[in-house]
Amino acid sequence: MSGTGALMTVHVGQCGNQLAQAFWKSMVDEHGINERGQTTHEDDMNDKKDLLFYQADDDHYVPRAVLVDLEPRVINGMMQSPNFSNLFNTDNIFMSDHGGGAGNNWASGYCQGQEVQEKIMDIIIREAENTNNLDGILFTHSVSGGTGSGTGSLLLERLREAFPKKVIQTYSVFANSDTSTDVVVHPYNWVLSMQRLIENPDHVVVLDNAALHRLAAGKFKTDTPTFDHINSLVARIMSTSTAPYRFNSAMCPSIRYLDLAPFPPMHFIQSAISPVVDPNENFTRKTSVADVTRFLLKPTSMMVSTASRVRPNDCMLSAYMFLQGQIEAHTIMTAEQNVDFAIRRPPFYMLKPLRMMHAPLSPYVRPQYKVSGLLLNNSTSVAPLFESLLSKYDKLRSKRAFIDKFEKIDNFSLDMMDDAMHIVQDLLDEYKAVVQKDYLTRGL
Amino acid sequence: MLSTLSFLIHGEQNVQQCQTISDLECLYLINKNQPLRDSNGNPLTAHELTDDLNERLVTLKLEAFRPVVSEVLDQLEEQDDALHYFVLVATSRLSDEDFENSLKEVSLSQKLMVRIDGEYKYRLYSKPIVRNNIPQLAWDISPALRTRKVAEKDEISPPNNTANVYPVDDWGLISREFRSILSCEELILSAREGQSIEFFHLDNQGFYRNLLDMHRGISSDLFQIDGDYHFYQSRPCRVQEWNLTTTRIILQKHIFIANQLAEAIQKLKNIFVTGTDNSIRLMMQKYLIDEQQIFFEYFEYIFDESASTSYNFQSIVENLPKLNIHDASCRFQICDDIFEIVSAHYHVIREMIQVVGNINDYSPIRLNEMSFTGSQSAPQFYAKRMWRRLNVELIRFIVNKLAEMLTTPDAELMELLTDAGDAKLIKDPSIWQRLNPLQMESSLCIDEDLANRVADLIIGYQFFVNDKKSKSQKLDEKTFAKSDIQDAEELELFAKTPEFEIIIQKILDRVDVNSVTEESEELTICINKLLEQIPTTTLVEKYSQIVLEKSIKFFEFLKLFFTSAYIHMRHSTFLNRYVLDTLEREKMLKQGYDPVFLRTIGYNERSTNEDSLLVVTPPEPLNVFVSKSVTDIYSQVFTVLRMLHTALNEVLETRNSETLTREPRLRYAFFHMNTTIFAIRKNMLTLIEQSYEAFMKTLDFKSKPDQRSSHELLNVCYRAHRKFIRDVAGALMLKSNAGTTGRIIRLMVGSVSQASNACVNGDAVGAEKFYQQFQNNLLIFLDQCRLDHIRYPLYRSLEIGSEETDGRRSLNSSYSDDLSCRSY
Repeated sequence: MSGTGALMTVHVGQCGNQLAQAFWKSMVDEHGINERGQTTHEDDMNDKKDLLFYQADDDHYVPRAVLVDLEPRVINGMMQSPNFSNLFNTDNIFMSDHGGGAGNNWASGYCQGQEVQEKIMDIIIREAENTNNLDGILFTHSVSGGTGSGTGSLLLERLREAFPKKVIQTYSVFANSDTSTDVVVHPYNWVLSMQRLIENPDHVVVLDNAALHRLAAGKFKTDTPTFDHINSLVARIMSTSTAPYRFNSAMCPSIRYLDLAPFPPMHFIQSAISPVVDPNENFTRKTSVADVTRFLLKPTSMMVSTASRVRPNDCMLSAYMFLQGQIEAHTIMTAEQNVDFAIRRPPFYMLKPLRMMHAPLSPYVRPQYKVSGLLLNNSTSVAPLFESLLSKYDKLRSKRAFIDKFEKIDNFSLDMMDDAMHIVQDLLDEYKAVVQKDYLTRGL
Repeated sequence: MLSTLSFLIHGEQNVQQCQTISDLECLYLINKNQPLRDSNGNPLTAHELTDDLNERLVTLKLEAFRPVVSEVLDQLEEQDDALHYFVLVATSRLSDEDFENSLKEVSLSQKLMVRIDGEYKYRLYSKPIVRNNIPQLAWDISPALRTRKVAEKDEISPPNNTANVYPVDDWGLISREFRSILSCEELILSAREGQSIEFFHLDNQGFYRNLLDMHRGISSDLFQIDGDYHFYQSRPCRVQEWNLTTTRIILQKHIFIANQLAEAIQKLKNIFVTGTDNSIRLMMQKYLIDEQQIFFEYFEYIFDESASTSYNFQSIVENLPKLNIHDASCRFQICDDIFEIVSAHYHVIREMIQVVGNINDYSPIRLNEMSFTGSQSAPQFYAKRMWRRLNVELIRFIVNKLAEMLTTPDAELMELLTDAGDAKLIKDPSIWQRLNPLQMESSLCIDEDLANRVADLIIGYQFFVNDKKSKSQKLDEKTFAKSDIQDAEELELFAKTPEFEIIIQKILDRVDVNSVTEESEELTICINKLLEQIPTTTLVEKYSQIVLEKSIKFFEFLKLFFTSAYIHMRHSTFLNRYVLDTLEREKMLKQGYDPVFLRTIGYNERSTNEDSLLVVTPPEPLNVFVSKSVTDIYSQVFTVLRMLHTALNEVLETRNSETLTREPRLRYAFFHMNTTIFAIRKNMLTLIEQSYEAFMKTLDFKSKPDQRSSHELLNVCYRAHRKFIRDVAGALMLKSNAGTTGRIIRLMVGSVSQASNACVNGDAVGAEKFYQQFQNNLLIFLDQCRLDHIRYPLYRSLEIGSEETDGRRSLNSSYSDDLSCRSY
């Protein structure tokens, strides 16, 4: 079936559900829906509400979202908030009976997940079956904790198995690798999650906590950006990246048409947004397509903590730039021709990897900026982040630090960890190979 | 004697002397033979009459004039008893008033009296003017003489009474009477014929009666009708003192014109049609019947001295110029006047034969112009008035017809409007005229702008009513408010009321049939007044506003549908009715397309060309925007974009293919195909979007208040949409490449589909082969793009083998021999 299919979101773990709050808050605003799921505006023909919502029997809109956590704190907090208490379908919420969580342990999350996976998958499959034309699943989680990484990894495996042809796009929050973190075992969690992120989803939008903090601290005039700050940035990335499907863009009508990963498993996407300003500050800049484009293509704009370490042979494999606002059609074409020379591509490429397009805005929300943009960039420049995290893993693993926490979990073996490390290593090798001229003909 | 008598009465200066000399003779005889008599019947003597005159002078307080009167009478008595007695009789027959006034006036002019301080005094030693010892009278007796009639003379001295004729007069000369007998035309004629001849000798009255009857088609003793229904003069005739020749010459031209007129009227009657629906023909026929009536009655009216009789023609025209047919002194002139009237009538009638005979060639507007020109430039006054009457009739006809057309839905439009056949033949046509290419002729009396405006309004009103009817059946209050429906119905009813007639009558009251105006704007003014007085303009404007808003929504729909509806279609390489039906079903899934407009999209089963498979058949008046060529462009847009979209879908099918996992080269190949198809599609969509932005900016009438009416804005809409369509055709390079774009894209898409199928089926070699085919087709496409200098820069980056990062140089166009770069 062709056409504009629906999307389902699956939010796993504390971080995943916090992102759900920010994302769905943004979605209800953009689609003109109030906290009870009722429309607040006359329907606009370009507003495809049914992409993310479905209508209950009484016609109120319900998010097509599944919320999963092994501990109830975040979800309960969310359900007690007046914004969401009457919005979500409570049948779509899964919280573990014992409520103890995964203790920041991938193995715990993975193994606990195995016990409840059927229940969770029932919810997801039921939701999918209620949808005529499901095109993809948006998955939010963190890869450094326990539930998001462990249970999330398991669910990714199950999702791929259950929906082999649907697009699975994760918004994966990577741990802050530059500063101390409360999760000492996050490199283990990361490696184990990475294997599932390499094998299962079609696209992984890498949300590097360090970069998000740096951006938030720089732009929001605060030294200690809160999760709300960070989550608002992620919500904006998620919102803009889905805007073409949600608001009827003929150019990219469905997530299926997003061709960001020509060479799997190199499907780790960096993102950049512009402009970013504190909503409490007066916005004094004049935005333009040229200005936004220039900023988005700067390596330092990528929300990856290692982006400052620019390597000369880093190449763009595929990228989409979504520009929003009052933009005349020809300005994008002009900008596209102007920026083309600045993009480095693999030597065997005979085509432009960057696709710039206009993404529609919500008809109900007055945009903060005249022009704004999002870059989803599949570039080899993400590899240093993985190298950095892998070296952290190696350090811990070589010392067998905290390994007992994993070993004591039933059904977990250290081989799983080593296999995962090899798979990540293979990925890094792939990133190195793709910038070589003979990438396509190697082995022939 | 007569000259003496003339001098006595009129003096030397009198110009009428020569003309009236025979009358004077006659009158002298009358007075001589009809003296005044006393109660016993004995003639009064000169003495008694003189006494009476003296008493009269006293009674009239004219004693101051006695010396003058006495002097004249005394001198007359001395010279000629007969003249003396004649003057006394004539004076006594004068009315007091005539006598007093003429005495005062003439005696002053002869300087016999003077007037000092309003008082008349005898001028001492003054003498009356004398010639041959006969004085000129100091008063005017001619009023007394005029009361006598010629006929009386004939009774007294019949001309054939030879006993009265003396060949030689007292002087031994041939007498005047004998001389006249010798030169008598009738006698000469009779002598020539060798027999006596009969002829009419008519007085004025009888003569004119016969003459005017003939012109009215009535035969008389004098003018008879022959077997061919032609008038001829039955026998010679003379009129009073006119001889036979003079009369014949005069009558000849009258008989000629009377026969011409009769013939013309007969022709006209032959081409008259009864029971026709052609209202302009009926109007013309009625006008001609009225004109005949006026002509007929006019000659009655000329005879009617009292002018008290009422005539039917007075309901049309108040009065007509009178001819003084009783004045014998200007008979030539009157005859000529009559001839001119008949001639004028004939010439107009002759024109009318041409008009009525070919009535379909003459529109009311043209006839109006013709009649206006006639009323200004016809040589005869009567003809001018005839044309003027036609002109007024036509103004009334046109205004009434327009009033009907602007208020009544089922009015017959072709009575005033003509079918141009094609809107292109109309200068600056409105959208109504594009839908129904009717136009109204312009003329000297109605300029092109107004004619166009009126035609436009009429057609617009018809569309409004039709639309209204269909809407009321559907009870669709959203598209047309109930109040509008009521407005239209009320207008239709109102047009049938006497009040409406009064409005029209007031408008027409300014057109006066009795005056000939030089103002050519009369019709224009009436029409403008009509447009002001009836609410049709407002209704059509209101309707235009609705159509305008609907049109903009329709344009939005068309753009949206043809650039994106294929996205919701089932995956299918070829468009057919089934695919379109699935599209309809998809629409039920609330894709946001206007359900009403969606119904206007159809599938052309007869078309063998995939570029024109879709048809748009919106209801009137929206169908004006989508001609066959416009629909074809929309259809081609749909087809081309759908093919590109299909190609993208085909590539997507390979995403999870095992073949790609094993073949990184194929991954690149499919990525290349995806990127290329995406770029072509994006360029086309962006250019369409760009045109659409400009289009919508033009149609954004709300943000920039426009003084123009909605009706004018509809035209703006039409032109803007045409421009948009041209731009869209340009965006897809449909024009510059003469339709080859679609074919090349079809080839490219075909290659993509085949490559994808091969890949999905695990045939890597096949996939690679089709990829190469795709590259070759891409090169052809890029060659086509190069022909479009404006849009080529957008496609330059697709050049295969370009080693420049900005893709500015193509190493591998189909014009190049270097094929090595075509393979990766």
